[in-house]
Amino acid sequence: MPESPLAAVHQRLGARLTDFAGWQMPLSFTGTPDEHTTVREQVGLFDLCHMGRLRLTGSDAQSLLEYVTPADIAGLAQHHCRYTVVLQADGGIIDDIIVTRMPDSVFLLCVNASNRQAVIQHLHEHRGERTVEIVDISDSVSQIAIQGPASTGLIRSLLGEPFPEFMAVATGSFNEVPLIVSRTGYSGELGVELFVPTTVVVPLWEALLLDAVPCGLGARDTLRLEMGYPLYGHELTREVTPVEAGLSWSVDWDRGGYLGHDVLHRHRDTPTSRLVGFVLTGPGIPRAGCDVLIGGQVVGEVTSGNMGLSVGRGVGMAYLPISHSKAGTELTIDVRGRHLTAWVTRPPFYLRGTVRDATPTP
Amino acid sequence: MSGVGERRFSRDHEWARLDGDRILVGISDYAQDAVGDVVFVDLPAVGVQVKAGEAVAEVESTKTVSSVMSPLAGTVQAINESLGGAPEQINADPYGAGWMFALAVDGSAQRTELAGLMDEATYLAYVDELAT
Repeated sequence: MPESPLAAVHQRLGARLTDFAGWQMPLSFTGTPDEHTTVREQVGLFDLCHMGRLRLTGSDAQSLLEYVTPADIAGLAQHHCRYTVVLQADGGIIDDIIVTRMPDSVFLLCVNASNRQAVIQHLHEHRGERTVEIVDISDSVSQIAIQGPASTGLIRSLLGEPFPEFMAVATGSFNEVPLIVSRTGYSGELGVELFVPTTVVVPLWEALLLDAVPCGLGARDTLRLEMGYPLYGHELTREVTPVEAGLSWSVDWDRGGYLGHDVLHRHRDTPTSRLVGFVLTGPGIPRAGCDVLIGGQVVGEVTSGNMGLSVGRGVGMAYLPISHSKAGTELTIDVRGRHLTAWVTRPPFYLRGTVRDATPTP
Repeated sequence: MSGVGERRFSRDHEWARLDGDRILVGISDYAQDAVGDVVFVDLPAVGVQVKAGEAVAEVESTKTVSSVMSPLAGTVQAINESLGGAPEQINADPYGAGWMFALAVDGSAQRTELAGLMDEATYLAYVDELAT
């Protein structure tokens, strides 16, 4: 099983490990609730080496990305990032990714660990006659996230760099080795993801550990759920389109020429199903796979659910018929035979996230 | 049957201990570690009759949910209300503040059941075996 270059450090810190997309990664260090709260209030570190990192170069790299995603890639400025989805011809989602435009027609793609090969294969399948090179740099480049309202000071002191604006990147350095500081994340808090040569990831992580708390994939999941961020394999699959998944905001509706275009427009004009968030009205925890009922009829299934650790209530997401997807609709969640009441709510469930806060002045 | 007894353990990783006129029940240190960080506890209603081995409560972590089986038959006399606001006591102090419910002491059959549970040394050996 592949493991992170930071595996030995995690072991030394006594991490509890989990198998995620074929990788052995930390589930937690001191405990998921503690780590979750640390990221909401201070600053936490995440090892994201399991994620896939691809570099697209060549004069037609933009054209290929415009064909396999519905996003406005032409309008993506240099050193800026865009969240989008890789689509198959029927509009189903192959992966959700972040595309960053670097200088000289270079694009950096961050893809899910579980979909790394599928995305690479899809890009090759649809490249046609385009002049584009697709390089998997996942092994030579490592990825760490620093997330939390106190991350700015830490990043400035260690990397000596201006803190990038939301969804933009800057170049930093550590021990005179250049690295990419990307104002992206999955926690809902102010923070960055670092793309660093694997040769320096261990000393960088050790230096960050002096001022920040290591966090595992358990906290990463509870943090993203409270923000209503989708997770591939749960909310996002090849069976749903980005319109159904509530990602219409990420689609460039003014252009065509991408896989799934007609299906996306049809789903926008005559929607039948929609991903919604819900909050339990009383005690209990909804879990992925629980049935969702309205008037005694099963109308959907929970895709993700857990205790909202900062919200103090059970929260979750589910696909519902469009007729029952309005905020305020009362739902019943069947949690192992117990019928718990919930309300459809527009995420985020946690409203005080600092993710979009203006870059503070030093 | 009175006074404070020694903790005894079921094969399902619950413990039971005589405490005056009641028997306190909780989950073992091994069980709390396996469940992970407990964020929600569902306890039985006071007054219900439970059977030995019956699933009567649930502990939920951010990762998973586990059933808690009553190690003994009896009537639920009290539940640990403080777990509602502080379920993490199950992780921090599984044999003390993390107790879950209390059964009323009700006679010789129950005493035989309690004596039939594992003592701590036997239970620890049992857990060691599971780990290998």
